[in-house]
Amino acid sequence: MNRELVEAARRGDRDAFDALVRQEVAGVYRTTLAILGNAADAEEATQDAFVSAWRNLRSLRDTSRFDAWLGRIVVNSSRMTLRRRRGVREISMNADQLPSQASRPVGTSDDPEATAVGADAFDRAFERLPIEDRHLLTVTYAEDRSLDDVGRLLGIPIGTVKSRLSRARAALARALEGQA
Amino acid sequence: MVELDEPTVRAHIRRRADTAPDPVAIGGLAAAVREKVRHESQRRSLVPGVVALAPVRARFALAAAIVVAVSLVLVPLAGGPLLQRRSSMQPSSSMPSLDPTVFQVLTLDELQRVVAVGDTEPYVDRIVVADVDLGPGGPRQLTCLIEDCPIGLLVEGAPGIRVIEPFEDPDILPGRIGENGVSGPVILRIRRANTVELIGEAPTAAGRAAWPLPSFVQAVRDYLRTMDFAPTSFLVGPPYVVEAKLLQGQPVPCPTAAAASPARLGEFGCGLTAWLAPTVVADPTTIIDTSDGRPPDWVRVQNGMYRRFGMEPANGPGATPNWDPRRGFYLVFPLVRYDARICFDCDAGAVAILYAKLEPVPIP
Repeated sequence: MNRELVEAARRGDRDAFDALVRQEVAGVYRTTLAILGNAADAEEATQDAFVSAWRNLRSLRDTSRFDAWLGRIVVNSSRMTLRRRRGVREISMNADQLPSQASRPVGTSDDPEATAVGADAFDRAFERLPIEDRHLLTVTYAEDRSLDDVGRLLGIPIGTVKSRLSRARAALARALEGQA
Repeated sequence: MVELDEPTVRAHIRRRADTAPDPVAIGGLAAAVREKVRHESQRRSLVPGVVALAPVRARFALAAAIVVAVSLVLVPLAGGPLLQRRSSMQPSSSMPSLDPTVFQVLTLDELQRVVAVGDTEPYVDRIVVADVDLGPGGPRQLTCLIEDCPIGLLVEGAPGIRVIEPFEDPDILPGRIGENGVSGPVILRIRRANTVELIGEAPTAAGRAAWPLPSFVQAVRDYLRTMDFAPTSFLVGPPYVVEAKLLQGQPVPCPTAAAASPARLGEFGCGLTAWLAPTVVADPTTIIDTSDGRPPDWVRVQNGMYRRFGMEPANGPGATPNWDPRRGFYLVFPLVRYDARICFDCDAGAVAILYAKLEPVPIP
C-alpha cells in the first residue's frame, strides 16, 4: 500500500485513486472470488468495494490502516453481493452444475494432501461459513501470508488472528462433517 | 472424521482464489471502476453538498425532518447523574459552569425558570430531563382542536405550564399520562413558553437516569426475553438516556438501494454506519476499523448519525475531518424487533434510534 497515494486519493485526487485501484484490484478480485465462488459475483463485489471506498475515503481516519479499512469494505461488498444473489439464485448441490472454476479438481495442487477433501465438498462447506470467516481464511491462505502479515493486514493482534483462524477452521471442519 | 489440515485448506482456498487471473479481465475491472468513479465524481460536482452516500441520503430525509437539533438542558450536579428528589436537590444555577460531561436533571424550580423563557434561544425545542411529577388533566381550551391539547400538568406548582402530546412521529412511542400520573424523572421537550411536550418517562438504572451502555443493552435483551413479539414486527421501545461514545463506522456498500418498510428501518441499511460504544473503551475506532464483529455491548444507531451529532462545527466541507469518538449523553429509543435482513451490520448488542445529543444550557 502506497500511503502517499492513499493521502492523495483521500484529498479527492482521482488519478491517485485510479493508481490505487490498479495496485489493489487483482488482490481484491481474488479475495472476492474465493469468498463468493464465482467470477460474476466477484467482479461485481470488487467494483462495488472500490466505488464504496472512493465515496467514503474521506472518512478514513488513519491512512496507514487503509488495507484493513479496504478489507472491511470488501467483506461488506461480498456480503451485499451474496444477499442480492440469494434471492434469485440457488447454489446447486450437484457437482456437475457447480461453476467450472469452483469445480476444478484439486489433484494438481502442489500439496497432495489437498485431495483428502474433494473440491465440491470443500466448496459447499466453505460457502456455509460467515463472510468474515471466508475472508480471514482467504487472506491467510491464498497468498501464504504469515500470521504477522495477516494481523497487520487486518489491523488486529496476532493472538486474535490465531484464535479467529482456529474458530474458522473448526467451523469449516464441522461443515464438512455435516456432509459426511 | 473429516480430515482438514492446513495444507488442505490452503490448496482449496488457492484453487478458489484463482491464483493467476486473466490480466485482461483484471484490466477490465480496473477500467470499470475508473468509469464508475468518474461518473460518481461528476454526479457529486453537479449536486453541490451532496453527501457521499447518495442512496442513503433519501433515507436520512425522514430522520432529518424528525431529529430536530435538540439537546438536553442539563445543569451540572456535583454528584453526577445520581438522581435525587426535588427536596434534596441543590439549585443547578449555583454551579459555576455548564459541564457537558456531567449529567443533569432539572429540579421543579429550574424547570419553571427554563420553560418561562421557552420561546427564546437557546431554550426553544430543547429537551430536558426533569425530576418532576406529572398529573393528568389540564384546561382544555377552545383552540384545542387546532392546537396542541394539554394532556397533563405539573403536580406541584407551576399551574401555568402545559404538558402536551409529543410531536408526531409514528415510530416513536408517545409519552402518556395515565390516571395516576407520571413520576419523575421525565423527558420533556420545550415547545414554547410554558409549554412542554412529554417524550416519556426516563427509566433509571441504580438511581441514575443516564444509563451505562452495557446496562442499556442488557435492558433491551430483557425486553426480548420477557415479551412475545411477532417476528416480523418493527417495534420501538421507550426512551432511554445513555452515556456513550458516538463514532462513525465503516461504510456498507450501497450499489442498489433496497426499499425498507417502515422507512425508519432504511436508516439501518447500507450506508455510513454509526455506533455507540461504552465510555470505558479507550479508542473504539481501533475496533470499528479492524474488527469484523462488534462487541456485545455496542449499539448500532442510524447511518450518518456521527455526521449529525458527532461532527465538530469546524468540520465543514473542505475542512480536515476529526473523527474522534464523541462522548456524551444521548437520547435513544431501542429497536426491540426489526427485520434483520434489512438491518446491515447489526451484529451489535442492541440497535437503537438515536434521537438527540443532550447538552447543557444555562438556567436563566
